[in-house]
Amino acid sequence: MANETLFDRLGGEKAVDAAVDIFYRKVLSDDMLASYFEDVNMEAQHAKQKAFLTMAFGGPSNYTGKDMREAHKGLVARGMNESHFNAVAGHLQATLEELNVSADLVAEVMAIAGSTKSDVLNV
Amino acid sequence: MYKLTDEDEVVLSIDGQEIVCHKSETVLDAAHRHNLRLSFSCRNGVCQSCMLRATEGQPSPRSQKGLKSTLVEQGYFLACRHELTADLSVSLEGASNTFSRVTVMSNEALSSDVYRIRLSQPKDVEYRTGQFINLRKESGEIRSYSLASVAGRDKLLELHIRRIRGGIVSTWLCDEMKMGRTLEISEARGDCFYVSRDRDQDKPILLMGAGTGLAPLYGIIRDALANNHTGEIFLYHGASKKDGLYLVDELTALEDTQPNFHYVPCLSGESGRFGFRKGRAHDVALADIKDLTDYLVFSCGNPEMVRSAKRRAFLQGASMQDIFGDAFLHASTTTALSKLSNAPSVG
Repeated sequence: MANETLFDRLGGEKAVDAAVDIFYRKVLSDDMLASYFEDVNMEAQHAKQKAFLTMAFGGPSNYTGKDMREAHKGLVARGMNESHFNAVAGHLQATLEELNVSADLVAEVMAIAGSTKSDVLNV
Repeated sequence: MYKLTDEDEVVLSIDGQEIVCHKSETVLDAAHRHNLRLSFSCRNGVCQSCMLRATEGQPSPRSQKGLKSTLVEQGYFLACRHELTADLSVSLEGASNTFSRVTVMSNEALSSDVYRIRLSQPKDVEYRTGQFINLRKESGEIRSYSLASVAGRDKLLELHIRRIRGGIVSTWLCDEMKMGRTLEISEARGDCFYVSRDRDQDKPILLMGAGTGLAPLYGIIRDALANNHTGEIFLYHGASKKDGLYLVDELTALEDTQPNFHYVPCLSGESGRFGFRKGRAHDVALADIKDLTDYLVFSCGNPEMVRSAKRRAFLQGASMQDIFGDAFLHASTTTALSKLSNAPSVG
């Protein structure tokens, strides 16, 4: 269909809702990432994950590169690096595949997620 | 005070400070225009960083979308999403800290160290079953206790107090606060209550409590049943030893009269006792019910137990919106959002 955004093609907010629990469960269950989530409020973090997915799905988002950079600076200072970023990206991809999202849409989402790398890692 | 405003303007009051806003601007934009610092992040109704509580006036449905049921019930909304069409009063604090004086109506021991204290309910202390109040001793110490009474049905407020040896407030409460004495309590607050909604009525409910964490759960169970909840209700209550459990007979009797209610008392410290499961209540529960998809999950007890129970419930399939629990820590102040995760003190 002409002029449908990525967000629409993925299924909009419903798709985000379906994905966020699956995605966040994968992230929380990953031993490599666990320590970064130990002290956070799980519910508040869940809301942030939903906001991140909305952005990655090409949805309405007002997050700037600066926001992403600021949000992760403290974690980078504690040792978060590319391997952690890649792990989270991997969980995002696995989530989309679990939801049977077509390969071309997965690629578009992963491209958006990948574009945040330098901000998230503060490089 | 009579205010002259244009028809295109509305008054937004933030903890008493009034600012004049343009009709249709969002609360967040209005606050920023007046150089008031409200936290925010995505500015898009998703991250929930800008959550505030409306104390007068009605937030728009759009500004409450995505918020947990218990927050919506208490008037919380997202500042970036509410467009001002009428005057509104909001608070950055979670709930006010005014205290009311109440009378002790009864004080009875339910076990060797758990006491049930019933208090008169003052007109301005409204609550939802399962919330907690802060109780203040004349010398100034404040402790939080969950309400075990059912709002709207029980005439008196009910607290379950564990008498901690050497505890300033708990020993005073249990030993000295007998019938006729008075004490001060705050407004009720907290996120641990049952919201009666048609679509939730047949959902299974899992409640996990340790020690006097049973108090709010006891209220919530009776509240749900009184609201004709048809789903299965599982209560796992634990203590290290048998005399740490209480209301055992009442809960066993409730099982007999309510076929959808199931009571599982647990003992973590003893080697094995007929009629009791071995282990900590939440460990036993989460091992028994591996798939928590569609469950409403309530937990109450010490902070480590509640954190662990909530996290594991989520990992085992419960939706974040359906997981409730207040943990008891040391109180702190500040922003609305941090208050939601912060907890009260006990002792």
